[in-house]
Amino acid sequence: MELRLLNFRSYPEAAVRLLPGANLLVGPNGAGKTSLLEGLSTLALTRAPRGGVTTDLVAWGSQEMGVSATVQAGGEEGREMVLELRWRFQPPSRRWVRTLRVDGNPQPVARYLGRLRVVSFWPEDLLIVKAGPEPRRRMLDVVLCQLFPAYAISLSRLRRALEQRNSVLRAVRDGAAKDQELEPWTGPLVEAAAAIMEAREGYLEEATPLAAAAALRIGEPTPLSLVYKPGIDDPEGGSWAERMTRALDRSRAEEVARAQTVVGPHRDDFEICLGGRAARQFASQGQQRTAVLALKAAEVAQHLSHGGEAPVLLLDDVLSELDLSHRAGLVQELAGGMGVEQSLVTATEDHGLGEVVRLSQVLEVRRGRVAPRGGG
Amino acid sequence: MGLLPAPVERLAEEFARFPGIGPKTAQRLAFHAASRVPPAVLDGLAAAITATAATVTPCPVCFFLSDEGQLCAVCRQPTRDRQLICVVEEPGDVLAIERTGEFRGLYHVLGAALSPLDGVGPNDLHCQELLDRVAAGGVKEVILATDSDLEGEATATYLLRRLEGLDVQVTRLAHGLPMGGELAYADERTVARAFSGRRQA
Repeated sequence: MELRLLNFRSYPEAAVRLLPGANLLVGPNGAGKTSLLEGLSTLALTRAPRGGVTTDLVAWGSQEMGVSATVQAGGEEGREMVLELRWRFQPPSRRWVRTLRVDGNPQPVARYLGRLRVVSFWPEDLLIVKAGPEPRRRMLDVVLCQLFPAYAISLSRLRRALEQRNSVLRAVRDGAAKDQELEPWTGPLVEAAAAIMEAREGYLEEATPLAAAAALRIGEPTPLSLVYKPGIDDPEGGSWAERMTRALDRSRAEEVARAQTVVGPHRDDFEICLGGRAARQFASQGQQRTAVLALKAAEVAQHLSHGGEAPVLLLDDVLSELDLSHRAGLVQELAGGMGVEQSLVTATEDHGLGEVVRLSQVLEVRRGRVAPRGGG
Repeated sequence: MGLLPAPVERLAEEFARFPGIGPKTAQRLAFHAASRVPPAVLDGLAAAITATAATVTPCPVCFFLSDEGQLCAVCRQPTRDRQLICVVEEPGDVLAIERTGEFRGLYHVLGAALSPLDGVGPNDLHCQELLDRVAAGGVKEVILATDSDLEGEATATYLLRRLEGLDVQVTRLAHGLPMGGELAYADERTVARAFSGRRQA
């Protein structure tokens, strides 16, 4: 695979050849290792991978940003495919416009997502068990958008419907609009919310045994489970659309008072449990790290079972954060337990990784320049 | 800066206000006007712009573009089926439907779609005028042909609710697969819509 960056983060321009297998990127802090991983995951997700505003990734002062990669369409023997993501600033509207291309042809997002898949592991993911719900929701969105492009459409419709509906709620609160003006936005909101909640619930159900198996391999005997906590308070059951509709009806007074839609998938969360108890409260730090590795292994397994294309595994500076036993567990998974065919690993030193995993290459990254070790 | 004659600078600034025209394109158009276009053609352009500003007004019935407060060209045609009203967001949508030659009724141009985020509520669209037209009688069917994005759908839902009490059939334009498109390459939402909107073969 060749990855190319244009005005992305600290890279005015770069082209990096990545080999099948494990690619280790070494270099001092701030050299630009992480930006390469962020570039590849931005290309796969069509947006900033770690939350925040995508155009914040644009190199300072530039009006155009691009990431592209030549990838193998069907594994190593398959034909080559060029994926390209480009952002351009449009001065009249003062907006950034995104274009997605496959082999040079513009594509809507629904036909683009899923062609390149990534499972990434950022240092902040180590806190995902203990953190607030937002990074856990993002974790679900990142994997589900790649598995099911329709999910990405539902997600952007949900965001838009919430923004529009909250504006009406504000106007209703201030006496500038009538209740009946809410209704046109409630239908699309319920439709998008139901699709998202159904997908999240299904994903967590399927991921539980996969994560539990991975945790066992890493050495955690207590059974791990993932429990969906939908952001609606409705004990009556029925379809997600019915539950969402009832929850909205019940919360009308509160949403008008707060000028905000207070129920829905934007309030979702899930609990990571060990032996049926919340790992957030009861697990040791070591067990919490095992749980995170298990969640990532489950992500990889889900990609392989849905549609088959093996994801590229991106590990950003996590080796140094792990104790010896977890590092060994991760490296084992990396070496084939997960079924990953290509990985990018960043580190400030190589942690003896080459002794446990066969490295395809070591790339040295210094001040935005990338060169194979031992080469030119 | 300041190298160009003031009218050329000014022209470029004005061009840049139009949708789809960035500063570079605006400058290219201004240069082209200043150096390549014969003065007579520029006079013609200026006259067309002046006339547009002076005489074009919305049709008092349907809000499509018209001349000096008169009925628009569609509303004036005697052969139109006055029992049908097709509701669209923008004047450009009327031309898109007219090009198909499929529709022989009248139009109603709302002016935009609902978007509370941008401060566009029902009172900013020509909604009440539509209800008045229907309430006046003689209309059998209202076809909601707003866009299929979130805002267009919300606008259609709003109008549907408001029209419910009136004695008129309300229909929504069908959404489906693009002609000549392959099913395998359509996105899931489009396929789902095409399914729910299927008809007797």
